[in-house]
Amino acid sequence: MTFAVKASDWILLSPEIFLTAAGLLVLSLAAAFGKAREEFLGFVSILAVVVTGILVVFVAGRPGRAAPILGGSFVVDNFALFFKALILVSLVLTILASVRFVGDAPYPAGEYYALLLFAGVGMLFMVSGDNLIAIYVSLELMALSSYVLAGYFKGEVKSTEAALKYFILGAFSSGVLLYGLSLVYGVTGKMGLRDLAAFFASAQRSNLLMLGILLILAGLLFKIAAVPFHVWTPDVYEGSPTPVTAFFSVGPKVAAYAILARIFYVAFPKFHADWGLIVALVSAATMILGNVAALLQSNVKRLLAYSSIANAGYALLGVLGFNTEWGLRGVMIYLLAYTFMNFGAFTLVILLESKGYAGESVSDFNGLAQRNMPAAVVMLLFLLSLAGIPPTAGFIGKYYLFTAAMKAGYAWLAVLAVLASAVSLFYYFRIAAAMFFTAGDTAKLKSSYALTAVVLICAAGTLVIGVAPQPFLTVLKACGLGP
Amino acid sequence: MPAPPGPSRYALIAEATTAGLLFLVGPGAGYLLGKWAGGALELGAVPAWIGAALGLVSAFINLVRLTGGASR
Repeated sequence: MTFAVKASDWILLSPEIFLTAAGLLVLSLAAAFGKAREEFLGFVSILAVVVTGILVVFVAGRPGRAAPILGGSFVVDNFALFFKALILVSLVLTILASVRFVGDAPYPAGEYYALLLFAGVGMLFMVSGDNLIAIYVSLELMALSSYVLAGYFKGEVKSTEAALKYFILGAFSSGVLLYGLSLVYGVTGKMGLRDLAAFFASAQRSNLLMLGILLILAGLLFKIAAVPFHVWTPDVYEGSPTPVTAFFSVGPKVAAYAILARIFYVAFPKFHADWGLIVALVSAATMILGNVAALLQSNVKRLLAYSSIANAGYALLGVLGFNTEWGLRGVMIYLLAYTFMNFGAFTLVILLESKGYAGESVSDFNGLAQRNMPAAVVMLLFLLSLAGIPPTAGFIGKYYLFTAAMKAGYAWLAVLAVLASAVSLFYYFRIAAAMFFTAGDTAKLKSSYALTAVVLICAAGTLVIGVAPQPFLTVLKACGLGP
Repeated sequence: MPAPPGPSRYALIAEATTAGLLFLVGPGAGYLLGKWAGGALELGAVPAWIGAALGLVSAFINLVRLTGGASR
């Protein structure tokens, strides 16, 4: 493989380069300012993400950008651009939701914001990855930042426990993934996704290759918290600071789905019959276990963790339907919807958290309608969307995913998904019933400007995608893999 | 006298599962029953939709009952 680097390659990677520089700047500013100017650091971080977004738009307009760059390591196609935009949205929402939360905590915020930005850099590289090693290194950049973020409240036992569990299980899954990559490289002698696809066009199936693909799949299924690699999720979600939990539930998952789709659509489509069956079984188990385990949870963060496991199962339906026009678009529209509705739900948990881990129980939502009616109404909107009730974004996403499964010949899985989705009504409605039908604390609940902005953005996204999905679907139609 | 033991964890999960599933079964069963009644009494398609609506309402009432119990 020749590793030719052109000047234009660096221009195409300008969003990642800028965000890295911004992360270093925030770290330097944090060292200079100390605890006193933390809100300013939050503002600088948001500004950095917005400028990165502008650079993504600038890159999108460059001719010939969809060709592989840096010796075939990365590619800036429409698929990557869509996911970069989604990751940047999740970063902005996370930073906005963190301002008050981190400000109240007795820990320095500079490192927190810098780690978020570095995790963002890893994710931006991940979704552009066109080579297995480039994807792996990007994934590790994101993961290492995430482990530290999970344990950011280092004085809290729950937070350090979450970080340790996340790190140990994450390191294990990275090892599994790397072992799979090494087996695939051992059999083929190639790492580029397109090179692998070209190699497989004339190559025969071998057991060693299948083992390699299986291990790669297992490593990626861990990242999206699919059964049986889901066990870390409830503990990590419960123990991490809530804005970090909200970030984990969308950002890294979005990036992991992007590379799962890219690797298996581009490099391994020939072996769809082999990995398709495994993904179907994993999807079924994930939907069932996620929904059933969520039924009796009394901690909202754990409940939403199991809900996110169930949602991972739904999104896998789109991966199965890769050879239909519904599959990839289903995954993308669902992740777009999921970003808004899930982040919105977590933001309401942040709003209720007055101190430490208070506000995380379902009973803490009792009487929210009396305390802050708009907050209760938007939470209801997010819950309805998570349950897939029209006219919300969640319904559109599920419609596309279930149709993708049907079109791909997995009708039984689509039926199971509808049943699993129906089961989820109970635990979502439980929170709604607590807000509207149960008496609780009557003291008025006030929100900060930053949290209000996050809730409004998420509510608008959830509602607009649900009511008028056509413009989004039109954009997604052009966001396929490759040029 | 010790309090009688509550329902087991599995019984609670089973009951909670029915709450959502009834949203599929209730309207479906109501529709089919209404359709049969409409055919038998020569009332057209209206009873079918009334049956579906009643099924939906019953599913919602069951959901409220179960979530109320869960809150307590």
